[in-house]
Amino acid sequence: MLEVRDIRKAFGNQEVLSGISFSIEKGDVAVILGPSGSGKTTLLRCLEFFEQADSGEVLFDDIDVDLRTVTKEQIKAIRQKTAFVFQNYNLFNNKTALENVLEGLVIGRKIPKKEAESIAKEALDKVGLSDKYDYYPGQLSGGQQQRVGIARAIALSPEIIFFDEPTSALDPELIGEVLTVMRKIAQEGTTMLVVTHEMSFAQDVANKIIFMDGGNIVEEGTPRQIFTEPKEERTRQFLKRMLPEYTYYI
Amino acid sequence: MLKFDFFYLLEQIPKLVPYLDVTFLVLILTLFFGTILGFVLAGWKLGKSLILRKLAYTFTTAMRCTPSIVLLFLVYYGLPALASIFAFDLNDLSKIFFVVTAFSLSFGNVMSEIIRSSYLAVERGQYEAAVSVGLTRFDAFRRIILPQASVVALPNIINSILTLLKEGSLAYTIGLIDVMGKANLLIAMNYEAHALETLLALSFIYWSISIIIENANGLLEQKLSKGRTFIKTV
Amino acid sequence: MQTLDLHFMWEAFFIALSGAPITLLITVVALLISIPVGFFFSLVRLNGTPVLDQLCRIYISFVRGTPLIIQIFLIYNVMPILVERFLRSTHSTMSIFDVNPIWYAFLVFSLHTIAILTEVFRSALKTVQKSQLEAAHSVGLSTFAAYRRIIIPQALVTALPNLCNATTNLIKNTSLCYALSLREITLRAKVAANPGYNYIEAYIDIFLVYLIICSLVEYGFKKYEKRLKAYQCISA
Repeated sequence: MLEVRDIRKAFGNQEVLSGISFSIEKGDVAVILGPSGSGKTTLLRCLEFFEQADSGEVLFDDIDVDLRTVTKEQIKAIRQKTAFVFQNYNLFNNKTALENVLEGLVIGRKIPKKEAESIAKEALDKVGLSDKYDYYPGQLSGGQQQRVGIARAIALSPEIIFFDEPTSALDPELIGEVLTVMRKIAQEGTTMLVVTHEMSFAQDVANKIIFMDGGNIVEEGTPRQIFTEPKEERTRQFLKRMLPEYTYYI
Repeated sequence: MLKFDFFYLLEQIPKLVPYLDVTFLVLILTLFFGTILGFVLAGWKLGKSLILRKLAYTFTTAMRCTPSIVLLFLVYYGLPALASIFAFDLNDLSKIFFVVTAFSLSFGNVMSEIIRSSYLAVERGQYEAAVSVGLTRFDAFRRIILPQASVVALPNIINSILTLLKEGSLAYTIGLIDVMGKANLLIAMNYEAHALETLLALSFIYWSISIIIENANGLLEQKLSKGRTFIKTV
Repeated sequence: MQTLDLHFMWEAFFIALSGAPITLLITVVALLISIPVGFFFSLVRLNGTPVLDQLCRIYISFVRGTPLIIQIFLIYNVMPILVERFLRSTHSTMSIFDVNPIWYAFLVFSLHTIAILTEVFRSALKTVQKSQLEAAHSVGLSTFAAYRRIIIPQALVTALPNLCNATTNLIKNTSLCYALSLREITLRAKVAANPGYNYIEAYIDIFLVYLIICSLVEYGFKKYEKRLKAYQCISA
């Protein structure tokens, strides 16, 4: 469904993406792991065109895009098929939770208001915020805000949802509620591409792991392959740091 | 030696108040043209064109370093001279034209800074989220960015309007008969006999207007901060 | 139709420039007086001292609510009479005409700037968190020392841009001193322009002189601000 070929991106002299290629099938829950600075977030932002990649190709269903010469219409078309969940939630500060979800439906996809409202409410119910329709972001906790962000994304029924470190900005107690929601929509068959440090999610929910380091894909495989039999040394080092033998909670 | 006639002061007030219409006319016209100029300049400052950006910033520096009186006279003497090069005769134009032109330049500059800084105060993430759910650039700006930027800008704008009102008092120097000009006439007509009372009456008028505007500003700020997230800095 | 009289412009530039010392003198005196007084008043306002606070508020409201030119006229109308009374009562042989109008300028601009700076300092001090004072107390600093070593330096960084603004506004506002017959930049150039009606050239020169002075002042403030910020970590 989504195929990425040889994406490259440099910021000044610093090459952040040195030729990334992978593919995602419908229903995949793919998790991108890797140390900070490996380019994971940049990759995701390039796919949603918040950053302009220097070169590469993206094949999205029937849309074939050369990242060097991508046009505004192509960007718009791809954004119609995708949704993005941000690390900092990025809820519209001047709109309530319900209005946040409605925005993309009514203005972005031109769905009539009545229909949009029921879709939006359904999405908010699914993430467990039925009682918070009219709350402003400033009145919600971090976890609640991120759940609204997810509702905003799923309401659009996109073909794939990109998650950019969705739980990194959250207090530990609030991470759980967000992961639960993500687990739920994964089980329903949503195609997801997730950048995260949450190993539990990667191990239990993902069906595909992509390990990146220094702008390259080091290793790719099923969770079982990556976590129990990593082939590359760098993967092993990373996993050792991230999964200590004895886990303890502060 | 100091003969202060309080009743004289009270008498002056109704003589002055009618001329507020000129003062407010100048104010409103300046607001209108200045705001347009402000948006244009802000657009240049935030835009991609290097030339336009440099032009806008040069204009800002020039305006920031020019006293209002100097600007007023430059426009009053300079514009007709410039126009005469192109064979336009501006000599019959009302003083209001020159006053509004001069102050629009200065106010437009102030507005461009307010617009620019309030636009930048809105996080980029708001725009990214908007386009990610399918809004066009225009819709994202109109529905998400502009409302949030306006909340930040409004107190500053109202403050600037207050400043504009006070700067506008200098228009009398080129002969405009607004409330300040009339006061000067009254003082001159009485051979400066009761200048103090007239000046105090004038002060009272300006002070009252300022207090009203400041209170309105305070109320507006209170209303706007209900239930909204504050733009977080740092 | 007419071209600019460049010869006059060149000469008038220096005539205008010759008024700069008076302009700067008024600016400096006004700042020297208003910075400490303004700071004191800002503390009064922040503490809410019963009577003084109300008086300050009225005073500030008046100064900020009326045009500066009116304040100048008011002082120019009132002060000579008060000074005359004072001189008579001390049996001095000075007459009010001996008093250089620059003293009135010092007075007006100081009063004006005090009001402005009070608000500048007040908002700058507010940006420093209360916890800074608590931390200072907890390590044994007196309130005075805490302000001097911890709070004021932090507030200064916030205040600096506004101080720069106030200074450049002060410099520009001295152009209104023509009403006091003070021979500063604007008046000198205007007088020089009268004979030949070279008003445009004169005003361009005036504009240039102010531009140079204000640019230098802004540059100076920016450099100072950079120096202050170098000792401040910008937290991510």
